[in-house]
Amino acid sequence: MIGVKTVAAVVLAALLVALGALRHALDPSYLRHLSTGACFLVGLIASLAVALIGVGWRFSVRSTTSIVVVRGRPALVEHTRPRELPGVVQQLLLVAGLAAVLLGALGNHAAARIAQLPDELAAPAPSEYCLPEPAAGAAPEPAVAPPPAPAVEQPGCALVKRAFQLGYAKTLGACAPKQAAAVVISPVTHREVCTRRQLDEPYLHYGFRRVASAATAATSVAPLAAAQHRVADVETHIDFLGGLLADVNHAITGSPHAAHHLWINLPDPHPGALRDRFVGAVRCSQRFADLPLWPAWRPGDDARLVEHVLGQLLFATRFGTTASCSDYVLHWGAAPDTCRRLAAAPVAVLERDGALGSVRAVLDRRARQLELAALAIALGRRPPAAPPPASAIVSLSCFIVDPVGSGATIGTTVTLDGDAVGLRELHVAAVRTAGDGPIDVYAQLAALLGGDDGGIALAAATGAPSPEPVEPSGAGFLFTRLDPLSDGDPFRGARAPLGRPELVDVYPFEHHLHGFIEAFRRRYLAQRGRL
Amino acid sequence: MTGAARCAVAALASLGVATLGSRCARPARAEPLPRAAHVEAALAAVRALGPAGRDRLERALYDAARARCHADTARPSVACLIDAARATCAAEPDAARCEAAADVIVTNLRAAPALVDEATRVRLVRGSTDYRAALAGELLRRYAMLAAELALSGAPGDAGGAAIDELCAQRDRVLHACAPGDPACVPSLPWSRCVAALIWFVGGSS
Repeated sequence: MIGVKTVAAVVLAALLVALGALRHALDPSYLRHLSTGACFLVGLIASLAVALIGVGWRFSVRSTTSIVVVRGRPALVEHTRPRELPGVVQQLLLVAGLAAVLLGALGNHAAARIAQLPDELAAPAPSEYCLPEPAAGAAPEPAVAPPPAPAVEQPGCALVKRAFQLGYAKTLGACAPKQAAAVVISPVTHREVCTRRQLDEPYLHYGFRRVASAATAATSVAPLAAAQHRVADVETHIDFLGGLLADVNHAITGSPHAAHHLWINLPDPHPGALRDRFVGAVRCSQRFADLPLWPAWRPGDDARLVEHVLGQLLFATRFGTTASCSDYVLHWGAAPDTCRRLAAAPVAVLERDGALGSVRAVLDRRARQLELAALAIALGRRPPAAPPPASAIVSLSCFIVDPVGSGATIGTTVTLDGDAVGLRELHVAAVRTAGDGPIDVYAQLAALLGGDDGGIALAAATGAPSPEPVEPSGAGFLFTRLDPLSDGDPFRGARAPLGRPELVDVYPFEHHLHGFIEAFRRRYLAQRGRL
Repeated sequence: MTGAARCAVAALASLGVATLGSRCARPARAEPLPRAAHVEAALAAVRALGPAGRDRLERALYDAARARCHADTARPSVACLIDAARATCAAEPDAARCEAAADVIVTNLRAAPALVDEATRVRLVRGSTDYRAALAGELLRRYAMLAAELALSGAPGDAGGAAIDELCAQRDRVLHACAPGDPACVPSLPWSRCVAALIWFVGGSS
């Protein structure tokens, strides 16, 4: 017959010690390296915790309930006088158990941090006190930032540079090496007068100083002029009240920062599934987060291929800075003449396809930002940076698969609420999923979104050197024979290897896609903006 | 033979002719490249050369590339490098084994500018008396990083051709974004350059 307190103390201590042992807190090597402070802290917290537990436990009082073993099974018996461990032993058991757990939780580092805490709390904060300036060193020399890193080779510029060297081009254009001037960091020559509390300043003196400065500020200006200025200020704000409220409304409702709509006359590759009705459609950023580099396409995968290429061109993070996924809307299953209708009646077509709201919100947001800039000028303040032009934040495009498509991009502008918005249209004869077909899709979509690649056009005009042929079936030297795969850019015509399945397995897709997409984004993102 | 039976025989015959015709018209599908076997053979060849043989062959091919293929002024062509390697190996007792190792060395020669950026190469030219040795040391660091990737991929310590082929075929599919001049990062590499680098490191260190 053993008291429940004894049983509880033994079981609890055993459990806690086992837990500490599992966390390697009782390993001799760990204990050997424990600092004195940590040991003291563990002992202190364990003792305090047991003292707190003791209030309810009442170690000095014997248990009235005991545990007995009846026919091999434990049973509780009330109102007995069981055998009990002395209260001190129970306390020691609990202290040992808690210490075992605390040893794992409070290491040397934690103990040191806890020990430093009072000093850190008592240290004067720079936001409350005037702290002494750091000791001045030798005569301050203007620090010159290290010279900029040598210009890195820009992808897609090799041919432009070659053409420049040969005299076919007069300038390097966007491929010219960027020369950044050395940044001279001037030393701080003056410091603002600190009006916060001094380290040795009595609190009453500091309080009086604050009250006195407030009174001085209030009486330093002519009351009439100040009132007139305030009235003029309020009147100006009232004049721009519509813009101010609309700007706040845009910020609260989270209206879009840009709206780019692309109509495609292919079926939606992700038609609404039953699952989507319950958990919602997959978010754009999630869909394009981890795109495979060059998946194998089957006939009929036209829409999936187009979506994949768009994802890689605009949103795949592996190719550098991306466009913002939420700014783009793909309208699948569009009519082939959508862009013609958009040119004729933009508002009606946009409204029919549910695009008018986002387009108008973006244009309105931009107009409000212009109003706020005008308000700042009216108040004599420096205006904020001007928002991007409407054509950079709103765009309308059509990618149409049409057997009689010419493959040429047609561009025009439409006027929406007084703003000119770009409208671009591309009709392609077909989307080929086999062989080098996807390369065509990359080039077509890049031309539709960002215009023609000047580097490719220049290479075509100057006659780019043809890469070495790849023929792996010769005698030996397989690695060497495959090496020219890196030189032949499929976007500049070297596509023969993509028609050979044995070469597709080892084709350097990353090398070629990276160069093309990086060059596209450099061109495209410069034309786009966000509010 | 009844009319119906005659029709059936004629239909079967025409079907057979059509099938044969379509098979003849279809272009022959190329056999997959014997990649793993080739990697295995090249690895064995590099191992068999031994340290002195590797150094000698590498030096001979480096000199041949500069002398015959003008490697010091422009990137040497594949055809020229293969001819130079064949000429170098012609005098060897086991020419086939020599050519298998030369394939690795020549590929590494062509891959060097992709693995070591221009700024590092300029630094090596300015700061070392033997540029070739300095470049080899710099390249070996990159190869070691690739070998570490091979080890982390779960390949056994004595990684064979299949493991190297598998790693290099898949490696290009995942992102390897490197800061310029970072020796601890190997960028995306084409299969041939990846396997050549790994064969040289694994074959030279075992």
